Amino acid sequence: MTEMFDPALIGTWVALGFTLFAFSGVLYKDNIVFKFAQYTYLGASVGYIIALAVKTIIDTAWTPMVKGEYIYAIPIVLGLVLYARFKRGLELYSRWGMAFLISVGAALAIRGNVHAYFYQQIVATMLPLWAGDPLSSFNNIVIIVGTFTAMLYFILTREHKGPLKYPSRAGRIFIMLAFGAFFAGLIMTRLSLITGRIRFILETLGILSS
Amino acid sequence: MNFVKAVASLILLVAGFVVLFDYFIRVPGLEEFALFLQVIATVLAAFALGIGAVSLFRVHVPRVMKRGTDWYLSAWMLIVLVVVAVVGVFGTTSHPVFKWIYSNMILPLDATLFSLLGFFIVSAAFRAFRARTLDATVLLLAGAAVMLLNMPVGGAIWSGFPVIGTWVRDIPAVAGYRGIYLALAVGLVAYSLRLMIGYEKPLGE
Amino acid sequence: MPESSIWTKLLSVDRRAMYWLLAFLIVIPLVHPLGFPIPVTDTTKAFYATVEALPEGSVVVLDVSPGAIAWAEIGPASVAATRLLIQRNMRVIMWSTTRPDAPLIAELYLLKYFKDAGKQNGQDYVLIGYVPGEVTALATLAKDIHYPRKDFYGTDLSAIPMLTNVNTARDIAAVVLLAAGAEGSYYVGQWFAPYQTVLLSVCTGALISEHLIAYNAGQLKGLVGGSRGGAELELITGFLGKGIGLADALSVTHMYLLLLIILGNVAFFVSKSKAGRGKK
Repeated sequence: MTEMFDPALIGTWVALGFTLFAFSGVLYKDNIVFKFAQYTYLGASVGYIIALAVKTIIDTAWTPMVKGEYIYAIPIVLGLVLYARFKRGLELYSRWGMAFLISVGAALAIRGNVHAYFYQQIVATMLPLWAGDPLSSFNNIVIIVGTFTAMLYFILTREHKGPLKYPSRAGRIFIMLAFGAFFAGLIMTRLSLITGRIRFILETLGILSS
Repeated sequence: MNFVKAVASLILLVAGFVVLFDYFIRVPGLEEFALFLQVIATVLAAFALGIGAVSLFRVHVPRVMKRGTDWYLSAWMLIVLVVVAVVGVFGTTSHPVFKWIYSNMILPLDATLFSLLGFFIVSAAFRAFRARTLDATVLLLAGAAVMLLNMPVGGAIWSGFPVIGTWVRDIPAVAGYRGIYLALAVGLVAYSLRLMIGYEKPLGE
Repeated sequence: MPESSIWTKLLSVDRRAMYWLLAFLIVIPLVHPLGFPIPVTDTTKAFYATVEALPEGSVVVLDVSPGAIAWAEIGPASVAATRLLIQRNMRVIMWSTTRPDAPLIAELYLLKYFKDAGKQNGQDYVLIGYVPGEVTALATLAKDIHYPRKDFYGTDLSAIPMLTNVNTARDIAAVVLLAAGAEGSYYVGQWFAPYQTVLLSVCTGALISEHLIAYNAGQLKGLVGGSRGGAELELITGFLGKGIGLADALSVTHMYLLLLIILGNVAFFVSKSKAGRGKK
């Protein structure tokens, strides 16, 4: 009798139930149990995020401030001011917190991109035209030509005519090849996720061992 | 320019350029100041997580009060949100109840709802992926080549499939992606600078 | 009245029939494994070799960012990578700056391997948990690993023995990122570019293309991509698990999808040309 109220067992069946509810929206049609699953997910995940956010604020700013590091009052005040957006007449004050987030994020994006996605990618493209054997040399030439023409495709300040016409067209082909490879990877991801959920259903029903 | 916008512009400039210059030049005290600004930003990010919750309340509480469409589902959602948040805040996030809610409600729902996209890819593959133009044909052929690489049975059918797939993925696709990322990097730097000096929305005029 | 051919009828099949057929095709290889061989690719071999080359006892960051949404795909690879780190006696710091559910995923699926191997919390591993802020948090961690102040269980980071001399990214031997989002670009920009930290990636299939350009540029030292990569890592490490079973399902579902793409295009072009001939 007590096994029936084992939280782990109840939890497994709750998880199975929610999984089947969520699948029902696609394998059958949009229905009340599917909506129930969606709303439950929304509420639970936002509640979860709030709990984590509060923990971070307490650990990183509130506790140090209470212990004497009063400078941590600045992020707490700025963070509370973010919520001024919901009060008519005070919306402008939320700009202070937003400005902080945006400017630090933008600065870090520049820091990260200039070296990692600009300089180092250019260096990686500077390959020898003759690499010792025909196949490697061909591959290097394809990479150099492909990278250069794909970049040319993104020149948006001039019309793609004249000397720009065929190189940008070639660049578009290389971009399509990149998207095709990405698409194959995306398919692997999506199909793996369905496989994982079906595996969970089979394990819970005892058809597969976990 | 009014006082509030002036302070926002000042924050944009000072915070952004201190963090940026810290990367490129060594000035005593600058590194510590930049680190402190970054810590402030991470605390603000935690505060920002709550904005979504407030928006949810603003939409769904009136719906419940006025008995709008699916108001009972909205009520359920708000109850679940409050219960989970209260358990997590007062019982801490390592509390057994909180963990039970995560592993038996959030995790299966998160995984299953996200996996539904796989079904839509199946119907899209049959109804929408058409080799109508040269670009679409190239995309489909490249996708097929890499799919034949990704599936272990591809190599069993013909040993050439993994070779072709590897070449497509590692050579022309890499070149195309690199070109995209180089263009993206330039655009991102330009856009980030414009954000920092206040030329772009949401804070620029 | 235009003739309704088999191709036109095929194009109007109820999509739910396709979904159920997919589900059925997934069940078969899970229940009856097909056992197709899985050759190990160079990027997975590089991942394994890099971990093997790290000095034993090094401090390694394990960025647990697949979340619930990607665990089905890169869970097996993540477990194999974690067990490899444990086998090499690495001291592991676990965190995520992008996925709020990282600490619970780590507790549910990874910590048991540390405990089974007799590893001690605070001596051999520490779970810092979720650090909000994405790229900002990551850049801050690179400068000051102690800034979150406490681990997931509320212990002061300053009181954790294994973090005594670990303060910045320079004290980290390698980062193994279990990536399902933008973590790769964040680490490349904020850890590799300034500090030359060794980065190893276990990523979803959708991210393989992006991480490959980083691998080719030398920014990543190893790459285990998608569920196929997970099966490869299980084979090369010997830690066999659910990845091998996933690989068979991968074969069947991919063949199904390829067939649908071919059938869909044939049906479309044949019915289009018949419609064209009908008009003439």
